[in-house]
Amino acid sequence: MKWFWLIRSIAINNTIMLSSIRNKTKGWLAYLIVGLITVPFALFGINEYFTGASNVIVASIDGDEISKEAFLSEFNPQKRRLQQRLSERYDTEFDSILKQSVINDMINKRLLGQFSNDLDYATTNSELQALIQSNNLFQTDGRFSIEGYQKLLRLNGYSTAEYEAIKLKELTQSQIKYNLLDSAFVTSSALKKLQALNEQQREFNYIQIDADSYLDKVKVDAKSVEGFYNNQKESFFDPQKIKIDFIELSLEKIAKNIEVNDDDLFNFYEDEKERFSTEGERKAQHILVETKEQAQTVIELINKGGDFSKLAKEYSIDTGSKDDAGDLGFFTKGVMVPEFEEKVFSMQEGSLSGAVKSEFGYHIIKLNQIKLGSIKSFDSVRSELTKLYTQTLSQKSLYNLTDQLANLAYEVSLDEVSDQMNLAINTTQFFAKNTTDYEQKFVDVAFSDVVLNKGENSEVIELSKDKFVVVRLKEKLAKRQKSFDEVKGEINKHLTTLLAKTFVDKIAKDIATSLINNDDSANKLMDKNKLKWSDSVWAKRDSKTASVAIINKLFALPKPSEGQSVYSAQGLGKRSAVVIQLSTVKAPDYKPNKGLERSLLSFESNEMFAGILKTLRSNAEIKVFADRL
Amino acid sequence: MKNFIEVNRTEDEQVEQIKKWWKENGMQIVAGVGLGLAAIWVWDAYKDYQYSQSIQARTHYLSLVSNPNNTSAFDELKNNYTNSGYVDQSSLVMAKYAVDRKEYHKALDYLQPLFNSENEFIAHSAKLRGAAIYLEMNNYDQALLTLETTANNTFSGLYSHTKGDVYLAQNNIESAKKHYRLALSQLSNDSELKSLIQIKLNDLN
Repeated sequence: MKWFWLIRSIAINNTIMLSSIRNKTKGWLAYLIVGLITVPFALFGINEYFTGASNVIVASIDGDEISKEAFLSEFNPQKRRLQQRLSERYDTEFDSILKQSVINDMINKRLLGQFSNDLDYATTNSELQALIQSNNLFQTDGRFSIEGYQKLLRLNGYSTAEYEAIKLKELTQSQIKYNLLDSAFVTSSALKKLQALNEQQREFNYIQIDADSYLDKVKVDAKSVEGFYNNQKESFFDPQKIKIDFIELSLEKIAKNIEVNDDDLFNFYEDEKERFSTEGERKAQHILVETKEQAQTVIELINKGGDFSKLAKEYSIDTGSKDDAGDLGFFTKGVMVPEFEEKVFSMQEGSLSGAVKSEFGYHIIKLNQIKLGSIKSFDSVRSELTKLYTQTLSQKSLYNLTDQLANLAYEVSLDEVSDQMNLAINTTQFFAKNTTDYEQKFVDVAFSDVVLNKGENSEVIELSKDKFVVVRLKEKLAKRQKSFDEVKGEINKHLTTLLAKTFVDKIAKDIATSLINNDDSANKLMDKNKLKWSDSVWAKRDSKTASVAIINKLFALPKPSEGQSVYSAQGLGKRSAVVIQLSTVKAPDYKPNKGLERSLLSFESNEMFAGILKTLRSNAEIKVFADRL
Repeated sequence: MKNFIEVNRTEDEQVEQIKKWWKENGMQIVAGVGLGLAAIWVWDAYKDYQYSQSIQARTHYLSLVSNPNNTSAFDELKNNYTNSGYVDQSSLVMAKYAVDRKEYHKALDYLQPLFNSENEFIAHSAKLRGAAIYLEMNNYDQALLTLETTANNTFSGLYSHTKGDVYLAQNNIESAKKHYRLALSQLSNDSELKSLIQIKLNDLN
């Protein structure tokens, strides 16, 4: 692993800002100015100075403030991720929930940060390395890849230094939890007991009686149906329903009408050339030594025919690559230290460099392979280009048309909008407010005051990134009470099910009672109802030999005494009853179970950690300015 | 400084005045700036020193965690990093190692001093673990005594759970049930321990 490249950039202390001012200014006058400026900084703290008047504060924790900027830099990416995952189901209402959760999370992190600081906790570079290297986002073919790592970070707008500083902080904060877990234990007899409990087995069989089989055996009288209707009258109504006219503007439709000519396409290709080119890459080995003299020695050895790989192993101080023949793999520009890069990219394939000095020492480099950068020809990417170009054009045109639509919809009727923009009016079916047939946003606007009560055109609604609509009410049906005749069937069915359930509960109870009393009415009842025992089986807590509900009831039964069975009648959901016979309980032989131990320890430490956070929060003075979020 | 440059004077006069002003105040300014820079340097150096101390303490701690025989790391922390949070943490680690070797008295020797730690989280962890060790030694009275807490605190769910375990070991089923139920009501809402405690409770039916 090529680690030292990475670590060079980690900022250790919090005086980065000061030193960057120092670096930018030159001459004694500059020193004087810096001196004058730094005195108040040193005394009052640089943070307060910069986050003073111009920044909006969204929360403060014991005086430690969270700026709106910091908040948004957490919130925006999370929102984007959520939007991507939910796409059209994303609702702006989620924003406020997400905001709460993000600010809460940030406050927790600050508290943990402060506390880990108080305890002088710190994280070593090797811990950081281990974390980053084990992240499979940064791995190719199961191995950590420095190129992949840097590329991915660049794509997400981080420099490695920023990313590593963030991770370092997170690791230090997480020590509040994980240090305690390091030393947690389960004593051997406690583990034994827990395991006996967890792996306990119970032998059982059961009779299941389903209410559905008794629906035709019970009779609900007409009076109770009517009584039910009269009592619950307000729950039987047909909600308000509406029909909506709408005009839709979508990228898809616009793209269909766009024709592309060759000249334009070629110009577009020229502009977007970078998209179709690949960067040049180099594959090199290197040996890193501390002094120029050592470098000379190594070069001489190589010139005398010494094996580069073996020499790398023997002399190189780059622990990341020395055992790998000094191999650094393929890399593009911008990855290695500048001096190294400059040399490598000027070398011939197969050649060897002299001693190259960088901040890490002296490198002897062997360039093994050159992959030249390349650009795909216009013809080979034509179809891809056409697609891209059409998309770009239709995107532009969509924005213009959306503007036009918004203006027109504000001024004239929907019919006129349709005429002027040559867009068809569509009409929905009748739908109620709780419908799932249309997008939530669409329904919300359709039932908004402007559309529903005032009958005006709505504003332009963005249903998704590429789809906009304007809606207007076409027709509405008021909420109305349903008549008894309309719903009596429904009520009758509901009451019949309830009655049948009561009936099977009673059968189950009678059978259990008879079994407990050891009389023969159980058999008679079972014959009469054509009921049968299931086969007797052993079950563990997670067995699938019966439904989860039955297994849960089974394991909550008291244990039988030797040679006797326990019988119990239980309701099972809304439609069944069950009689369970529990005949034996046993615990298997003890085998140490690491998994169980780990689970228990993590359960306990999670609870401990929850308590720590709760305590830290209640001890701190936390203010959240929700209106500024 | 208000009348530092006056408009009506000639250039020479102005230069003269600047020189005079510098003569009077120059020393103080140089001294002030010097002092400021020195303060920054000292502060930086102090921060760097502190950070490197923390890193060293962490390194000792990690070497103890990865190797039970590495008691020198524990001594090092205890003697030379008195103010570091890793001292308490490493005592907890030593206690765990003692438990692994079934040296329960020794484990308690590491834990007991932490019962009254200023860091309440260390104190709670140490007490809960101490009680578990007393339970393992069948010393139920001492276990319950260790779990005696006055105030109703955030961690009472964990305390009640262990108390339930102690009563169960004593075969005091009713008290065990009572404390398991109490634990269920005290644990945080989404605690995974709840299903475990429910299993323990069901088994006592």
